[in-house]
Amino acid sequence: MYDLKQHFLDRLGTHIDALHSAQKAFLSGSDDAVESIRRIAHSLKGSGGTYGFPSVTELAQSVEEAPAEELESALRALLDHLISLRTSSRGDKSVILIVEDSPEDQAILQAIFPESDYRVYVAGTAAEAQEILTRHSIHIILLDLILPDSDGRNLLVKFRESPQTVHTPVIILSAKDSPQTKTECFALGANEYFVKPVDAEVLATAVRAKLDQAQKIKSELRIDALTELPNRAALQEEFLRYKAQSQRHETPLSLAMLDLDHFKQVNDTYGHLIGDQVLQYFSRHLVRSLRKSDFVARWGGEEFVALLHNSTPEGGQGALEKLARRLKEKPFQSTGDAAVTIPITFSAGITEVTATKSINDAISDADELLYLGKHSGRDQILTRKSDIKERPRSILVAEDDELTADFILHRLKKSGYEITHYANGAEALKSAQSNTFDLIILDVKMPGMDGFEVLRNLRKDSRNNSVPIIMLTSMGRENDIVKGLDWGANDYMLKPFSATELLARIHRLLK
Amino acid sequence: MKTVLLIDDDEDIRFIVDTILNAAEDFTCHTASNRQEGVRLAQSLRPDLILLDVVLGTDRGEEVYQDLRSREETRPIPIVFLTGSTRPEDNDRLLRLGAAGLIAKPFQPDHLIDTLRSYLA
Repeated sequence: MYDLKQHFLDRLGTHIDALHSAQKAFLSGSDDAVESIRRIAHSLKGSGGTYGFPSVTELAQSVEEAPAEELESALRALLDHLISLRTSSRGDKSVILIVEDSPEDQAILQAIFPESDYRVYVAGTAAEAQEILTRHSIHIILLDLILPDSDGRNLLVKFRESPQTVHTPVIILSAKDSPQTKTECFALGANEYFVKPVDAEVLATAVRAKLDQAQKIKSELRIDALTELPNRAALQEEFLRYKAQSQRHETPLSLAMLDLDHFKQVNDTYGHLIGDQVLQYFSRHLVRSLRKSDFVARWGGEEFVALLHNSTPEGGQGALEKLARRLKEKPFQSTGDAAVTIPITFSAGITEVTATKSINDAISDADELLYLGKHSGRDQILTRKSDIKERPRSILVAEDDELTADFILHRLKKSGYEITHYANGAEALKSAQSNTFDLIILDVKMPGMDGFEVLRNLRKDSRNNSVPIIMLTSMGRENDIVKGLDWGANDYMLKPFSATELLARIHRLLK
Repeated sequence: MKTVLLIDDDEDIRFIVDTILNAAEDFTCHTASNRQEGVRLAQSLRPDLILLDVVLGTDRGEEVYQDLRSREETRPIPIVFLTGSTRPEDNDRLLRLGAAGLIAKPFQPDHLIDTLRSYLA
């Protein structure tokens, strides 16, 4: 399911920045500014209400239609509204732990961090601080060095030893202004050192900066830069959360492992830039085909893992089958001058995450099914070993003579093969380069490109260098047979031939 | 499954329409952000319907409309304009060109789907 509102909120920053810079240009008297403000407003008018924010449409419309003398105030109203939307969408407050025994200092510090923006815990002793840390997740710690039950430096060491606080920023607040103490604190892992009395403004800014930095590092560590999906580290964390939830609510949890088919060939044929775009394209569709409550991560390379909340493997199979259909209807298209269309298929294994399964167990079970699918023709989504489908074998027939083509097509289709036919060598080659066939039948004489040329090109192509190929040759041109076999054909048929014989040879080559 | 091609320079509208249509069972959506790409995709995809923005950056939707009408491959495809204008005379002009219909921005997701289904029925 889609969440249009969230997408609008995610993009708010871009709109706000654009309006801000247009506003600045407008105030400095630039001529273009009015037009660009009205353009942005026009676009927000159309999209705001559609995203589910009719208030944005109204305010944007008044900017678009405002007479020159009212433009500035209308723009300010729109900007204020967008900014307040952004602020209210960021629900989480930063959590500060203040470790300070003096009641006066506690009060001063608390006043610096208003409740509207922060949640503040105060500990008067080292023991209290540790107790608070066991119950709450803390984003930043302000630490006094002199505590009734411990030296602050000992507490700092404990913070750095605990996995929970090893990366949490710690700001030391101390009456001591000695270089030795400062150096020691930094060596023990402090991020900042302020000598009391501390200027409120300076401390507030330092805390905000450290929080932003920590947030950025934390999210960068968990996001795959190319696809912007969570990465393996994030998956490991989420797995525990999803599993705990599934046990608590007694709902099924499934893990799917997906791998793009023939991805190496995409990189080899079109280059890594296009390969990267294919991964991004696939990621977007994968996320869209699952529910918001599911979790998708890039496992590495062209492999993805999805945690499917409240879903059996069969349920997940349905969702992924829909994705596979979607991708077939909507192959990847690159933009730009040299536009290419690349069909995308994937193979997947889905397993149920039972109470005793660790993430490694689940991944390895899903992986086993995935590889089973890969080895039985790809483009398969398996939930158990018996899922493997006997798929009809696909044959590409390149033959321009209508009678011969009709005859072959009719008989092969009757025998259950899936046939793709071209009467032109060049078109057949193009099709073979972007699809996977189990066998190819090539006539020697064809318009566009003759059969030998097609054959030579196919054997150079990593997708087709081992696909069985049968050449169709005319009587009296036995030299063609030698040439064909030399260039990598597996078999030949002399025209005219019997259908039974052709079928027998196909059968043998496909074994 | 019906294929819809959206030609709109506004990234938000492209995202919205793409999301709404792809979430619906019976539509597949492709998008183009300018005239050139739009005409190219219309020719290669032959969609069942084209949704065309009235203002495409420096290009006017009406010109793109005429362009699509002048090409044999795209002539039979019904075209629906997406318009931000509320002035009846603007909308009348578009309909007189022969457009299959109009959808005014902003729109409700359900309205978009229902309208497209009615044009494609």
